[in-house]
Amino acid sequence: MDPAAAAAAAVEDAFDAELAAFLAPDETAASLLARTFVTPLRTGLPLVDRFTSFRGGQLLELAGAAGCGRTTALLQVAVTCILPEVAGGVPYGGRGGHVLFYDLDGKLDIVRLMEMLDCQMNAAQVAAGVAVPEELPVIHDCLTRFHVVCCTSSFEFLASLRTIQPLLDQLAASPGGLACLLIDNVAAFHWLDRAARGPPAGGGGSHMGPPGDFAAEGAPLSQYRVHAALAAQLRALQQRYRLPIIASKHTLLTAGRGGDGKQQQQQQGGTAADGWAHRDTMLKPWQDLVTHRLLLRTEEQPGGGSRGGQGVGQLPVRLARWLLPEDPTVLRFDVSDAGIHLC
Amino acid sequence: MPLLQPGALGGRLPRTVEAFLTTDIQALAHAQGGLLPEDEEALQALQEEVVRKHAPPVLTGTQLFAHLEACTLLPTGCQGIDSEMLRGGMRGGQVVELCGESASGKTQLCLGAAVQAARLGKRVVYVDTSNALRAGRLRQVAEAQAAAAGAAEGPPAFDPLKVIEVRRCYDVHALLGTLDELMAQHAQQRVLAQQEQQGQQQQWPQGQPAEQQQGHSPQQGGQQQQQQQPAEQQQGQQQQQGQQQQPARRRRLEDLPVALLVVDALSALISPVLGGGQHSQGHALLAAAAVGLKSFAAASDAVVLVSNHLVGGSDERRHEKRPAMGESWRNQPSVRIQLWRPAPGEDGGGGQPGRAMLRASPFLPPGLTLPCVLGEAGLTDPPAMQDGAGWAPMQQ
Repeated sequence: MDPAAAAAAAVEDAFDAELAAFLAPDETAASLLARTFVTPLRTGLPLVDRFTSFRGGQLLELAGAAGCGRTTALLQVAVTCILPEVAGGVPYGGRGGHVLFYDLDGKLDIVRLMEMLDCQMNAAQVAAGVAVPEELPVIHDCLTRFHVVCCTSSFEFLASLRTIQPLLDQLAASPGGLACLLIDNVAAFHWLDRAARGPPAGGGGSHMGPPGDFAAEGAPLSQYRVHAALAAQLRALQQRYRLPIIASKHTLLTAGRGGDGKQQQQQQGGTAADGWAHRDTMLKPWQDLVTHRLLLRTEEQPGGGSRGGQGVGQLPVRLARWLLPEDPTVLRFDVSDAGIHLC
Repeated sequence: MPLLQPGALGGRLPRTVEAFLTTDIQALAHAQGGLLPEDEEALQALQEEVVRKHAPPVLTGTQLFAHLEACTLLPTGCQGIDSEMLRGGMRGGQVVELCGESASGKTQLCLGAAVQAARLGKRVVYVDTSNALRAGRLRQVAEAQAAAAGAAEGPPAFDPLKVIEVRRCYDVHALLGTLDELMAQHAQQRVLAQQEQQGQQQQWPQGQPAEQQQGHSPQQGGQQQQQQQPAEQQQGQQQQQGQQQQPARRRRLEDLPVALLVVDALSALISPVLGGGQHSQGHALLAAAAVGLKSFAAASDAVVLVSNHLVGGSDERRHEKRPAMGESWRNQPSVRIQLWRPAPGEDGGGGQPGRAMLRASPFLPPGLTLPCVLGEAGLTDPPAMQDGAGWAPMQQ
């Protein structure tokens, strides 16, 4: 009896211990937070910082037609990221990190970047009471943290993404770390990729595998394959570096113009909602990657369409609205030398 | 496109660079349950190929700034546009678009800019798509500009029209062909420049480029004599010789780098293939032309000056007239300037001058408007401005 009872008690103890171990918390809330918390990126864009928190591992898409301030917005983020936190006793409020900028549109102007840096620095130095503002040394220090890749085709873009890892490893290990990845106009090669056709029929000869076996063949870079590969590459980078990615996108198909089915819809629906109708030119793999979407647009001022006399239309109003997360508030902003500010 | 042997995965492994770039290798490896060593090697070879040949370089801001300091600015011929709208002139690598109705001065500005660049000794390629360029007018512009420069410059050292190369393109494909040709010439120039540099560094060893040997065969004897002379003297003479060779080698126009590419009326090529909304090939051609122009500008540091028509603006639509070629093009140029033809004056004499308005710019807000007049020298500032009299840009 005795040994049996002892054995039973031992089993019970073991069970209790197992149960206790099972019920014990895996980690405390504090350690969970420490493990998973990603500090939001301070983008320096009031349109983003005031309305949402944007963190590493997320992708923000800035969609808009030409002349909406997409590139300016991206440069403003770059400026905030590469500005030092404090330099020479002056708080610049930047992050002092490295930025990788993919220029697919070929429209990056380093003069504009320096101008924006200069504006921010001058303001910070005046606020800190520096007698003679002197920005140039700090600007040059900032420029070393700005990295640009210019691509003229989807092929080059993918090639660069595939081979960028050593550089990113190096940047992530450097003091400032890697702050963010910026892409100017992901839709830059839309028409070229769309025009790419499937593999030539029978061209492969004996090498042709079963249909759909594109991986092995010299399949051309069709739009779907490009977008799928792009999304996969960016996701891999996000996972590796917890990288916030901000991409601008030129909306080629605006509602009411150039769209096949859209025109009827415009006639049926009111004109007010149409301006915010968003028709995506990017395919599903990219859309799945996007976590935040901000739509920028310009609107002619009401009653300003006069082209008699002066023949000069009034300056358009700049508007922005969050599509993802959905928010009906329409924000008004303006672009100055220093960048975008709300008004 | 290197083709590798099919791997042990039964041809599932990517064998071309394109396929490699669009294949998720990790997913593939996972699906196959790991990769064989030879597969790994094959993938490694592809990766190295991409690194070596295909990946574009990563530039830092510092490098871009150094490049900026080295680049030159080209004048348009209209000082107001240069200083106010373009911050000094058209910068290499930029695509500048001029739009306006017919007779608003687009072609005149193109001509003026072409002659200005040519007078600086830069090679200009002028792509004429709508037969708007007349040699007589070009000559007149050149003479008027030489006269305006005055005696301070002295007699011109060369005829500026000799470095303006006119090409007539009547469809997009011809333009794309021209761009390809210019890119090839640019690549050739770079190879030659590198060879020249190496040649100078190596003090003319045996490995001279074939072209040089042919071009200077009369000097061969002299060169051999020099080699017997003391080293310092030899070096000095060779430097002299190098300087003498410069003009001799640069005799062909194709050897000069292009500083300005003018496409007068790009819309005349693009508009016919756009429209209808039925097919995307027209847009693909537009995108190809735009990428071609931009990459040529970026690669060779040339200014690309493009003119464009206006469309729309009919009465029933309240839209303003807008530049042709639609939304796909609107994003492409870095600077857009719209021109208006002079309005006839009420009193019959003079009237208002023409106007130029900044429509898009990387730095300035759109809307800056300046007066400009059509003259013999192309599109220029109004006389009051040329005299240095006070004037204020009309900012709305």
